[in-house]
Amino acid sequence: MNSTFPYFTKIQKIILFSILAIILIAIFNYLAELIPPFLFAFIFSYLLSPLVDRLEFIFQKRILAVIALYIGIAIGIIFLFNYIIPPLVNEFNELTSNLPFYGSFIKEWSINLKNNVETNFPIIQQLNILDNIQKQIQTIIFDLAQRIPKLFFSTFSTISYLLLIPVILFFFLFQGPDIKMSFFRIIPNKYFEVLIYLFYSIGNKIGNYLRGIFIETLIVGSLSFIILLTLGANYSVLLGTLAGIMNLIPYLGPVFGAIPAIIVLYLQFKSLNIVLYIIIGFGLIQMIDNIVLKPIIYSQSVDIHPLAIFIFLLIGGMVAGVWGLILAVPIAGILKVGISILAKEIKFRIKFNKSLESLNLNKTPSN
Amino acid sequence: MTNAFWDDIFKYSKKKSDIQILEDIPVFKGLSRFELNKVAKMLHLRSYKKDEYIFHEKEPGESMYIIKSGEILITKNKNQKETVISNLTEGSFFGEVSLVDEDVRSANAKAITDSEVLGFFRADLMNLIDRNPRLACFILYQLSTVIGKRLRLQTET
Repeated sequence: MNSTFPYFTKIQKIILFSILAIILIAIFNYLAELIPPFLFAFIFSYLLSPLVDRLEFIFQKRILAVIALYIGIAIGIIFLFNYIIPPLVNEFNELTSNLPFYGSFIKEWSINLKNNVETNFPIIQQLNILDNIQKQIQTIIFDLAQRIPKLFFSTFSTISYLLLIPVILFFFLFQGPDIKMSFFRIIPNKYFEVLIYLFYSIGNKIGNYLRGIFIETLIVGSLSFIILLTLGANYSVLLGTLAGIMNLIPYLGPVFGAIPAIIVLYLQFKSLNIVLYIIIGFGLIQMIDNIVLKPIIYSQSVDIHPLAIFIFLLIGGMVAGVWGLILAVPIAGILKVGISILAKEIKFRIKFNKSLESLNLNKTPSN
Repeated sequence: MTNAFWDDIFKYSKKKSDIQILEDIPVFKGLSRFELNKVAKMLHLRSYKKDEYIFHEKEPGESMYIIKSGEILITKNKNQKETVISNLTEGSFFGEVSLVDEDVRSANAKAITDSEVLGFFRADLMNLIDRNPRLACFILYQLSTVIGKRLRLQTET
């Protein structure tokens, strides 16, 4: 620090840095809307850069590799819009228009339940608990029915994002190594090697973890879709996608993913056999996921305590709703990986610096 | 104070470019200019003041260093004292074993004059295996030649 700012005293430096910090915060405050596209572009570049590296091997030049990747993505998007999105949207609209039907089914079922319980336990009738619960459930269902379309599309629908992210992503992918280099250049000598080591080891692990999550979601989603399709379910694409995304939420996610499928299938076929089949099917998928996919995909498992997962889920749900629930565990995983590597390194450094100090004390001046 | 009249203000232009330095390093021997250019892009240029440590013994080693200018002293801690092993100058390289094994450094490296070094990191070399396997293989081969030669000399003496 002394070498970079030799002309200031300590207090002047503190004042200078605090002014700089205030200016930075002010700028960030004004430009807060610009941060998300950069953040998304950064995350995407993280996920895609290994792919670009491999493409660079084929095309020799990085820019060609990035362009090839973009062409590939464009083909993928065209495919998506032609074959995947239309049925998804159709199923979605159908489901939302049919939602009152499902709502009435649940209402009917709850009234039956209420009558059953009230005849068995007369005390509850006096307290009016079940009426309240019924009302609550109704409001929740109608609320949900209104919110579902927004939930999926509002978060990512802003057109400016769709235009900005690919452009920023292009530069991140193309010049990623150069950006990294210039970032490393400002690190002081003392921390240089350590920070580069940390950067790569944390980056590697997080990259592997995120790619693992992505692949797992894809496989679980498509397996669910195949099972629903073979059972002849109505909204198989939508329900399969839902099951895949919900699978990101540990413990409860698969249940959340299965409940809509069970309800839809039961109402479609009106038989309990089909419910049994779907439960067995989803159970099988969970078995495949836990026994085959997870050990293969996550070579080094990111173990987080179940209680910590629930706390993260609660926080995520509070902060960002359903997306918070879905993203809570990946974010927790990233934090866990980052912090554990960092903690290990700090522990080692403290010990190491102590041994250096003892060495310096004993060092003879002549050398 | 700098004196533009007497000082060698053209010193910078006389300095070898990174690629010229790399050409003489055994680890990168036999690479074409085009490939050396690719390698040069992965190097981290660092400048160290006099008496500043580049790395310490028993620190985890991550990289090899090539001296661009200045002088580097390689020392070992023995009986709580630093004993000098070697004195390296411009165009030399050190710490190449760290490129192939993940163990700790076996010596200290300290700048005895203001120095500039080029760092070549294991993570970058591993990344190069994905991006350009031919080049990475070649570098690894040359690296093993260098280490093998050192081993042979070590056992002979």
